[in-house]
Amino acid sequence: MILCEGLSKRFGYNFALRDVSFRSEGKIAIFGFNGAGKSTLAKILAGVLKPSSGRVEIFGMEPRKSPGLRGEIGLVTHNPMLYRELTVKENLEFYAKLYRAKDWKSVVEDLKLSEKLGSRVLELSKGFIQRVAIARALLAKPRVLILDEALSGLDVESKEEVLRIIQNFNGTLVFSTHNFEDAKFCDNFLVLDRGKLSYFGENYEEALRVLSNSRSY
Amino acid sequence: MKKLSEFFLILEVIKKDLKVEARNKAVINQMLLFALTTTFLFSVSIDVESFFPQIILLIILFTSISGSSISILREYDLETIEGLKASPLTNSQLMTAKVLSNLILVLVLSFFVYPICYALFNLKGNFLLTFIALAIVVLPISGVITLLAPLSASSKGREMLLLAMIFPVIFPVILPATKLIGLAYSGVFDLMNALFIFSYAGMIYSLSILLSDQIL
Repeated sequence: MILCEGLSKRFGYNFALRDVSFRSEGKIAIFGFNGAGKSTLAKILAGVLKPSSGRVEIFGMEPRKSPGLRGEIGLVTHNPMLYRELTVKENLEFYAKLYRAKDWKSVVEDLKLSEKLGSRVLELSKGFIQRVAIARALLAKPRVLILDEALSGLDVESKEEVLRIIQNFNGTLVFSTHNFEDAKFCDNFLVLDRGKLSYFGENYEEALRVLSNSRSY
Repeated sequence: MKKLSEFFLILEVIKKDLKVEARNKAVINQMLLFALTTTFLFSVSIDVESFFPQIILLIILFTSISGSSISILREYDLETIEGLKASPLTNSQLMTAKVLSNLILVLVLSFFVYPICYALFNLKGNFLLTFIALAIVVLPISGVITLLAPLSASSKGREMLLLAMIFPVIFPVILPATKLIGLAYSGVFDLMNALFIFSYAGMIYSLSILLSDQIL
């Protein structure tokens, strides 16, 4: 379960998030235009960023203060967070050791990366790099998966494969995307408008209506 | 047992850092090029033997700043630091790993640069004791770089800013370091100054780990 209470994040004088509060279980989609605060929220939930004020809890623990909880969270952003000089295998092995993941080879097979294990990340296309990033997030079999624009750069076939994995993901999912249709399967929808929460609920159509009225549009 | 597994996590980050540096070569090449150019310029322009402690300290200090800060700042530029922050590593473990990998990088560089300096400057002092003194002097230098580099990461003129931040922090060890190197060169090990530099390095490392939540 994810709980956010009065969550704000400020960069200098600018608020990226302002007083965001919600409580969610299952799969949640985050909608919003550029600069709405989706990535900031995803990074706070993953424990990468510290909120300026407010509280965030996942399964009753604060991600930033709980390394054990972070070990159960998989994060994929538009940035792959991979080391370009290392091979795919070296990258995955490194993260597998950090997350103490033992049986991670099946993730490689699911994402059809077996043939690319020996290639350096800098030699791969954007689509393959994004697949490796998704494999990195999934290798520890996380209870929470946070995807922030994770499907960008994927071709249609890869996107469908990844979407299938996401839809079958058996845990808490936070899915931020510009392609709203991809997130239709989620249980809850959250709309951010310039850092403020403008909708939170189960109605996909209503979320889209609120989104279309948002100021960033 | 838990402490041991935490140590292995730190070891994994160090191994990864050194592997990335060895593959990338940009940092190592930049450091070596800077060190060799400065060494060559000094060797042909002045009587180095009289100013040897100051000159070697200058070369090692600026080479370390130019190279090893980049290895940390690159993690910020490529946002790979976010992958580490999102992992089960604590900030203090991450900082410890960064401090140690930076120290190894600077020590390896000194290991290559010092014999070249010794040969080019045509020195005749105690080779081994001077090298040990240099290894001690490198401890606080690499610690200060690791402590301050992340603070300048998001700044536009970060190289200049880093230099301006490093100098006042490293200032207290400059005099003891030159004395330690100078005496080591003449064959005497200056235990008091060595202890002072050790303590200062220890303080910097402790500070890095204590402030890791604010720094990273």
